Amino acid sequence: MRASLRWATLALLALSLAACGGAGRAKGSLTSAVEALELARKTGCPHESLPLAERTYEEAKRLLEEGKYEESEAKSRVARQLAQEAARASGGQPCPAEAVTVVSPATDAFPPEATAPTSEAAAVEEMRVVYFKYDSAQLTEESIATIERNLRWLRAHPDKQVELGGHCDVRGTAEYNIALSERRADAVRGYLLKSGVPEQAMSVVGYGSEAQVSFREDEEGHRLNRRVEFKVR
Amino acid sequence: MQDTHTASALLKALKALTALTALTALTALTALTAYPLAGAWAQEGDVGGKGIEVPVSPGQVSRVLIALPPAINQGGAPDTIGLSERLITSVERGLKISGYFDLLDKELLPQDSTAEGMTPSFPSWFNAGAQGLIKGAFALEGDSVKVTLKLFNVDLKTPVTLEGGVDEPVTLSRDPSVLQAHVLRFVDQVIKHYTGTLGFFSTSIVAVRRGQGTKSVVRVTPDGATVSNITTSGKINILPSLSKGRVYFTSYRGNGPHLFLYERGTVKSISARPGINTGAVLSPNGNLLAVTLSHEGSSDIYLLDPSSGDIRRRLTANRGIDISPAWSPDGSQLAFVSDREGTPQIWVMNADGSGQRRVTFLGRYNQSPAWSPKGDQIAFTSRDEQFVFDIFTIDPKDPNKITRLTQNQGNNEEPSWSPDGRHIVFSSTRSGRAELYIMTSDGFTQRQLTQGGGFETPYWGE
Repeated sequence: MRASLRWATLALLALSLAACGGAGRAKGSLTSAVEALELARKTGCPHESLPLAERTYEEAKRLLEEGKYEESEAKSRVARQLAQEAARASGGQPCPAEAVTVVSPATDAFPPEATAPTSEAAAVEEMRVVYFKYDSAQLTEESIATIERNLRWLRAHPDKQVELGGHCDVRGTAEYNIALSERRADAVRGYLLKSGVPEQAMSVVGYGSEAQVSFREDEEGHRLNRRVEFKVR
Repeated sequence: MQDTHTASALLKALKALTALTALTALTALTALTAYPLAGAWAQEGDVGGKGIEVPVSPGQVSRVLIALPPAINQGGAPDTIGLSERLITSVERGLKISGYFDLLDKELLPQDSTAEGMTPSFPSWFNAGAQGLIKGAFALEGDSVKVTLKLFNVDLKTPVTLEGGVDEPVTLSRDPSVLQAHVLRFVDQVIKHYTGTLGFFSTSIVAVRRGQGTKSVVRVTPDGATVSNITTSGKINILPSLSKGRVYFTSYRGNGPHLFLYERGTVKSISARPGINTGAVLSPNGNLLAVTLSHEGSSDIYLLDPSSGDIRRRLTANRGIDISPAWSPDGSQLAFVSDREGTPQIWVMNADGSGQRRVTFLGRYNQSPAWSPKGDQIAFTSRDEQFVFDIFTIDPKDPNKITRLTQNQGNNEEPSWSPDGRHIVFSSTRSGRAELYIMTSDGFTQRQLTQGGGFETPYWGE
């Protein structure tokens, strides 16, 4: 029953994409750009390309809202390239002690050993981030589509282990956020388990609001932080 | 030290009236009935006896106006180490953060007050408006310093003899922390003189401070003068509690949120079970550790052996989130957070897990309970419809008795009571940064404790 529901969801998603045409493609490009941005924000000391990538992304978002799909798509591609460039340029190196960083001074970036080893960088790039609604661990159509995408990679690499890291936006109390983030990661784990991923191939960690990827205190920043990350080991 | 006393009683009531959510509407009534009364008391005062008495029951607050002139150099040697400044600043910081005192404006101090020495000319202090006067004197003597602090009752024109000999001349080393400790012992006794109960400066506050990619558990002296690291791992260390000299905290130094104990300079693992290991608080008698674990499914509350971490009892078992245990002062009950009925709310249960009942019914997000040392209130964090967080108290025996303690000043979260129950420490973003604040338990006087930002989840203990 669960499988048929999933197919229905995917079919619905495909239909909506087809119906929107250019809008769907533009949205897809925007998603790719935002994911590249997240990776760049987390990768070592922020490179000078990063603010440019952020601005280009904002433009792409605005163009999409205005219905200028082709222009938005082009901007998104540029934003993605800039973000990837920023990530490569920083090489995962932390900032020198005195350097002024782009991110807020009270950064919550996670300790280095918790990020994926560079040899797995390619695999990490394949893995998309699953997003959630506020104070919710429910899987939406969009998040199921993302999980399905990651599932394809996991099925193609049965020797790999994956850590499902749950996260919350910064609002709310610290201990509740840890519990909520674990619930999010558990929801993804439950889906993967039913889809045939062996139990021993997965681990779950609730990071609460302790490892933010965006320090923007607006809706977009909060949205990016409410997530489950697939970390391949 | 920034004075952030709350708005006047009337303003507070008006602001409360304009708020639209169910919770604020209810507390507006509380504000209207309680705060005008507080204002009336603050105006009148009660001259006679020891001077101004400071009633400590909610809604009855008046602060004593203290004059604190520059310290007097009684020795021959010039003050080359800034001792005068340090002495007066330390006294001022202690008096202010206690919430019981206001300091006389520096411009209103009588001219050249050092000339009179340690025998004040009372009429000039009385005319300046002071109710109390604290004079400090010092003398540099080789490697040590001789310090005298003295309290005078301006209304009665008499010197006050404080308990414990804290107003006798003492010879101290030049170590600034030794001077600070002496000053705080003195201020504790000044508070006892005016309120009948010793101040809180012999206690300690633990909290979390954000760094570059790290979070450290820190110890903050209750005057805010010293912040020292407890954890130095450079990882994410959070959610500390302090009791009987033991600091329990959660750390991601391993592969997840695991529990550790810091005691006398050493850190030891307490629980590293799969899933969540958080929120450890020691029972009042020190025999049990209440924690949140999720190794058996969703997060639930357990009691552990406080040294070995072995499970003694599981207290909750349901599919919802159960977190944040907080002991009642007699150890017979626990407050906690559960979202088993859909939204996170404050619940109470007996210490064996029986009798679980919901306490908060207003609002969709009530968290971080802290049971008052007197047992009559539970302080907690509540979120309103505009995603603003504020601190409230509720009577666990009568859930209709809710009092709002913070309003219209940023987000205010994570309350923790002083061991004597007269004050609450909490985190607030009202200055634009996340700082710790101390308020009197009725919320009437609120003052900033820390500087520099990045402070979270304070816990007040001994």
